[in-house]
Formats: sequence, C-alpha cells, structure tokens
Amino acid sequence: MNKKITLKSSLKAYLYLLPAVAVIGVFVIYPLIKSFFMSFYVKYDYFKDKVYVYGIDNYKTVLSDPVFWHAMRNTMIFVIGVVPISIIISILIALMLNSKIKFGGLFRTCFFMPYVTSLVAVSIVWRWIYHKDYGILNYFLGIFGVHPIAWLDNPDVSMIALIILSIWKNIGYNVIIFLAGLQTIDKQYELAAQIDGAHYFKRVWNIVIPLLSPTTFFVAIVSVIGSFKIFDEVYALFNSGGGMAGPSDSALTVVFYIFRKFYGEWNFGVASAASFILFLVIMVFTVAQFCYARKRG
Amino acid sequence: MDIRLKEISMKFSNTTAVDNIDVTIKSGELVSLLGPSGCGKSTTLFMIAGLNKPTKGEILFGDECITNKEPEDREIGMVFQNYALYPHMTVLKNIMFPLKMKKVSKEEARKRAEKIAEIVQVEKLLDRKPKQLSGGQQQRVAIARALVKNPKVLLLDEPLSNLDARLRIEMREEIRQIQKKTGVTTIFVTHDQEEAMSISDNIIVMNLGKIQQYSSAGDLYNRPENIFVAQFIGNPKINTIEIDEINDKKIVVGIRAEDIHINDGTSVIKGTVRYVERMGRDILVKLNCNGKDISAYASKEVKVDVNDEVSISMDKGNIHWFEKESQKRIEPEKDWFEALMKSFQGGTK
Amino acid sequence: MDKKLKKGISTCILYLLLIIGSIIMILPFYWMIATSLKTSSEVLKMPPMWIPTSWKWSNFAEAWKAAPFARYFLNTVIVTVFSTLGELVTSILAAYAFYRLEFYGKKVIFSILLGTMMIPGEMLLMSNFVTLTQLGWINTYQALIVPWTASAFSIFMFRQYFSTIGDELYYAARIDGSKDFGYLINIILPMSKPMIITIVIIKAIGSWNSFMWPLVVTNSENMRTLSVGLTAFITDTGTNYQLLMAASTFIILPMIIVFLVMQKYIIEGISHAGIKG
Repeated sequence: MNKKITLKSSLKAYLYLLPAVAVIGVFVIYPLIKSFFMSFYVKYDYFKDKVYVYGIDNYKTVLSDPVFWHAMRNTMIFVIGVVPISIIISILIALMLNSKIKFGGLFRTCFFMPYVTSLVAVSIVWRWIYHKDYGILNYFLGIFGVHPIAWLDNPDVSMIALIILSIWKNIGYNVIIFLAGLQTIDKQYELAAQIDGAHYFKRVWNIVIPLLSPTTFFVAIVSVIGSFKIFDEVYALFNSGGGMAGPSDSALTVVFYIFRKFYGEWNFGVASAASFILFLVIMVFTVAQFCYARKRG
Repeated sequence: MDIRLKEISMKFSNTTAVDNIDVTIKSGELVSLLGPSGCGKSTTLFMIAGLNKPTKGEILFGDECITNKEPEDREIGMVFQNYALYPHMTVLKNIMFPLKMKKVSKEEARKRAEKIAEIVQVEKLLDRKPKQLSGGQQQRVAIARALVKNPKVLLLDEPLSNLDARLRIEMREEIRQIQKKTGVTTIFVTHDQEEAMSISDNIIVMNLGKIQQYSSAGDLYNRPENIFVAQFIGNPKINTIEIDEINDKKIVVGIRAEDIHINDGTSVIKGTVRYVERMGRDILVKLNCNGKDISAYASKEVKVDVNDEVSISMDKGNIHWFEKESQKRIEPEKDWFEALMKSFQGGTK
Repeated sequence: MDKKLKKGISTCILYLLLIIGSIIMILPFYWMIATSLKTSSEVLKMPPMWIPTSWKWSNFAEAWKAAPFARYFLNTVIVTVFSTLGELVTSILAAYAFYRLEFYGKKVIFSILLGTMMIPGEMLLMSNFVTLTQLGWINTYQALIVPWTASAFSIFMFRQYFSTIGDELYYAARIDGSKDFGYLINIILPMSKPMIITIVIIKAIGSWNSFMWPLVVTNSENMRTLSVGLTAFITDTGTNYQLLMAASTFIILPMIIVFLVMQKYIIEGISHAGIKG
C-alpha cells in the first residue's frame, strides 16, 4: 500500500511532528545558530538581548587566555587518561562476563550500578573517599605502604582523582556495549581458531578483538566526546559555590572554563566563542577517529 | 593414521545424539558420515574435532588416546559448513594462521601457504578478503587453511551444502583429488547420498545416533544390511513390499526399480500403470500390482501409458530380504520367492 | 590431571577478579550508607569502621531537615515526571509520522534531526539561557521541563521499534475502519510497551541525575533540584560528612532501586543503542 504524498497527507504529518519539532527547533536548532552569532557579540546585554559591539575579539580573548589553554591541556590529559584505560578494562571485564560463569547477571548488575547514579552525588561520595586523612582510598593504599595522598588538595594529583572517578563511573556502560558486541561475533570463528591451534588468549588477541573493532570504535567515539564535556564531577569534587576548580585550578576543564565565563562573569560572548572552539576540537578528534578507522578497513 | 572411535556416546540433557558408536577409520581413506538430519553425524564429527566432549567412550588417533585433548592440540584440519574464514584477514593471512599458531617462521609459513594455495587453485586470490570471494573460492581457501599444517586428519562438515548444484559436483571431485594427492585421512559429513557414494572409499551410514552400516558404496547399494540403509541409499527409493506370513515370519522385501522389468513377456505378473515419469534417458513407471505400489525403470523406447496393463518380471538374485521385526537383512528360504510371486498375483495373503 | 588443575586455577582467578571488580564498583555506595549511619566521632575513626555500630538513622532525618530537601525532592520529581511524559508524547507522535506517514521533506527533516544528536548541549547553554530570560522563565518549572520534552534519540528508537511491527496489522486496522491516530493509540501503543518502558527509564534516570542545566536556570532555593541542592549543602555542612552522605543517599538510592527493579529494560535498551551505533 504505497501512499502518495499530498498536501493533505503532509499537513497531517506535520501535525504529528509539531510538538517534537517545536521543542527541538526552539531549544536545539535555534540556539545552535544563535550561539554561533553570540560568539561575535563583543559587548552584549543579555537581559535586554541587545548587542552593542560585534567582532572577533571574543575568539582573540579566548585563544590568548593562558587560563583557557590550561583548561584545554587539562581536558586533553583527562581524555587521554580516561578513554584508553576505560576501553581496555571494559573489554577485559566484558570478556570475563561473556565466558560461561555463574552469577553473570549479578556481576553485570554490580558493574553497571554506578552508571545510573547521579554524577554529582557520586562525586560527593568520592569527595569523602578521597579525603586525605579519613578517606578509605588512602586507607587501602596505606596497607601497601603508600603515604596518604592529598587527592583533592594537591594540584599534581587532582586530575588523577578526576580520572579514577570517571573511569569508575563509566565502566558499566562500556561493559554493556562490549558485551552486546561480543554476542554478535559468530561463534564459528572461535571454533575455527581452536582447530587452527589457537589457545584462549591467542584467540582473543587474533580473532575476537579484531572482530570487535566496530564496537570498540563506537565506544571510543562516545567516550572521547563525553570526556571532552566533563563538568559535573569537577564542580562536585572540588568546587562548592564558585571559585577554583581544584587546588590552583588544577582541575579546570574547558566546559568549566565556559561555565565560569558564562555564569560567573556573565560574559556570554566569550563563553560562546570558547564553546565553539571546544566543538571544533571535538569535531577534529571525531573526524580523525573516523579517518583512522577507514584506513584500517 | 587410523582413527578409532571406541564405544562413543554423546548425551545432551534429554536426548542421546550419538549412541555407542564403535568404528575404525583407516589411514589415508576418505570416509563419509552419511545420514538424515539429526542422525548424529555432525555431533560425531565434532567429537573427533574435540569441540564436543563425548559423555562416554574414547577416541584414538593411531595408538594415542586423545579424548581429553583440547581441539587446539589435536593437529586436525576442519572445513566448516559456512567456511568460518576470518573476515578481517586476507586469504593469505587466513591460510597462514594455523602456522602462526604453531610458531612457524613468517617466511616459511608464507611459502607453505602459497604452496597449498596453488594446490587448491587460489594462488591468485591471496590478497583478497573473504567477502570478496565466491562461495566456491571461499571453500577452497577453507580447505587450504585446513591442510596447510599437514594435519593428521581432515574433517569436513557438510562443506558443499551452500553451493549450487553444478558447483557441488565440481567441488566434490576436487576435494577427492586433493585428498588423494595429500593422502590425509579424511572424514566427510553429508546428508546427500549421491555425494557420499561418488567420492568415498567407505561410508558410515548413521541414523538416530547409531551406525546402520559401514561399508563401500557398492556394498551399501548391493547388500544393504537393514531396511533403513536399503531405503536411504539409491534414487529412487527402493520398492518395499511387506509380506505378513511366510513360515510364521513377517518379511519385508526390497526390490530396486531397475531390477523390475516391464513387458518382458516372460512373466505372469500383471500390473496397472498409474503414472509415468519421463526423465530423458529412462522412464520411471509407477504401477499398482495387486494392491502394491511399485516403481520400475524402463528404457525410453518402451511404450506405456497411464491405465495400461503391463506384465513385469524381477530377478531373483536382486531381491533384498529383511526381517520385519529386527529390520535386518536375512537370507531367504527356499520357497520365499514363490510366495512373493504369488502375492503379486493375488494368491497368498 | 594437570590440565584440569590449570583450568580450575584459571576459573578461580576469573571469579576472584570479577568479585574484586564488583566490590570496587559498589563499595562507594555501601560506604555512603555506612557513613550516613555513624556518629560524628565514628565517622573520623581510623582505621575506618566498616560496619556502623550506632546505627544512627536519625542522621537521615537531620539531613532532610538541614536543608529544604523535601522541596528539592518534590521539584526533582515534578521535573522528572513531566519531562518524561512530555518526551514520550512528542517522540511517539513524531516517530509515528516517520514510520507511517508520507509527507514533503520527510528525508530532510529526518536528517536534520539526526544531526541534532551530535550537538553538545554545552554549546546551546548560553543561547537557551537568553531565550528563557526573554520568556521570563528563569527560575520556573517551565525552564526545567520544557526544553527536555523532546529528543531525537527517542524518536529514532521508537521509529526503529515501530518498524518491527509488520504492515499487515496496519492494513487490517484500516480495513476495520481505523484511521491513523486510532491505529497509533489502539494498536501501536500497547504493542510498544517494552520500548516505552525502556525510554521512560532511561529518560527518568537522566532527568533525575541532571545537574548543569538546573544549576544554570534556577537561582533560588525553592526551585532547586536535588543535585543542585546537594552541592549547595556542601558549603552548609562543612565537614559534617555523615549528614553529607545521608543527603547523597536521598538522590542516589531511588535510582538504584529503579535500576535493580528495571535492569532488564535498561540494559537491553543500551545494548540496542550500541549495536545501532
């Protein structure tokens, strides 16, 4: 039954689409365009929505601001620190859960639980765990003879604290995706590999992991994009009402920088410019990943 | 190297897939595991491969009991029904993979891979990926991968079922030639009796997890040991006639269509033609003889039509006699042939 | 027997690793609840007290009253419920249009929606803030709810799901005299229960846990959601960790319960999204 496209059928369809399109139009598409223009508002009154000066000064300001580059550097460290380790650990866990073990569902539940919880609230719990004197992390490290580390006060380790928290929170999600990916690999390849003389780890390395690469690619993209946008954890771990992101701003990330310019200094133009720069950086990384994947076939 | 299956059984939760199989496959032979779906042939093959562990019994390669050896360590080659070529590797890498697992040096592995590729005629496809190959080509690559490590035994699990009819016939010839050339003991699972009959040295016919008969194609055809084998082998299906009472025994008689002759003029048995299949070289005549439906071959010159009355005769020596209860072949007693003829004429019960 | 021993050891190691991993995953939650039940002196005990001895349930009551958590809770519930409902309605209607209806610009609109999924929300923050200011919606429920009542992701998931419901039912319904809307309500909707549940849960969890948006669009105590209220509470409590942990429990526990009850749907939904990606 092929229906023809008529004016009437179109109008009817538009009616169905109206609520969703209206909301998305107003709160996603319109702001996308407006944000772009906002990045050129050099002097702006947001309350009256009046622009006094246009120009590219905002971009100049951001790109020459050492604080911005500090934030960018921190964010890069974060992305590089989180994504590869996350992926490796998640694949390992997914492989373990995928083998014939009992209580698989129970383990899966445990690994996934952190993912459904509020990032802010969980960061506060970790704030307590990271406590220099009474936190259980230092207690466990102490068992191995490690001196108490001032996770949240020492600028050298604050990023590490952030990285650990982020890996912990997101492993569950990655594990589920990898589990689904593992299930799609035809069992016969592993049987053939067994016949070909490959014991377990050789099978995993030569057959399973290469065949898992579409899933790995997906997780990598999602993780990179997500890591670039980190904010909630920084706010909750270090900040309590405005000010420094971590000891001497050592945990300042790009989104936090944007937030500060926007909500702290009410400098919409600069904040918009910075957010567009961030967007471009994310785009570059994503495209680079696609190119890398294409090259490897 | 002989392969011995010693009282092998395979039970899954409620079903017995393989029931106490005991058989020896001789070194260098190509033996088929033949039978209908679900007869246990693939299960048996997988046990030889080590991918299934028998619930009872032992498997020996030569003198060595390998029942507890992992598949990786058994040094076998296997061709799967869907070939299982690693999709992310080139043909060359696929073939080299077993050697890589054996830690053979890269140059030597490459040489051996290229050599075997030549034998199976895929030497021009070495840089392609499996998805760029046709079904027949993929199969040859799978065979190459199985043979490159000089396995002790080659196992093939219905390797031809995914190919079209013509290719199937071509490929089974090639497999036979490769097998003869390399001399590797080969076990070939199939449900197609023509396939098995045409290339095997010996055939193991299975049904319901048990071996029905283990002999050459000729013996299977000419001396089926039970009713199942008689009916499974041969196209068209053998004519079976039940005789209820000869000397207090219930007998089943099997006569192949080509052993029933039409319009010889030499006999008194008459039948009515029900259907004629003209198949080019011969015709297959389905007739009813005193209530029994039988098929008979005739050459294309013979003129018959539906509802004709024809006379038929059969060779005494080509009749197969089976005992109904045990389903097994038995030697006929003196008066059985006459009893059979009488039943066609409407005399005996 | 060497083989069997090897296998036994590797199985043991496997279980051991999984158990350690699982403990690492849930220990913080246990610790959160355990700390909530301690007195202030027990909290600071070193080595840490793993099992609370005082079982100070009153900490929860105290935390609840120490800041307007009741109000925060109410706000969060209202926002979650209405934005989830809103998204359900808008997504199902739109998904149906893409699935069953023919109209001009179908492909274009679809592609644009696809594109919106790739836009990071942070970029839209400032502009949306201005929009809301112009509308006078700052610090109201509308600001918290309305922008989140549509999602391209949900539209795609529903459309995908609808397409698994065959054409024949549609033809049968039309012959029975049902128009499109009736078909949607009477046939498609009841048959889409699993997907509806999945989307509702994923959306509800996301809404409950959201932080940056409520932080930005609210500026008075009485409009705060739990996550925002919680961060404000940090400054209030100072180092009163047992109250802080108790307060954290308010926001974390409901979602854990939802998760435990509904895990099947959540995990299936995420697996599917992953495979489609």
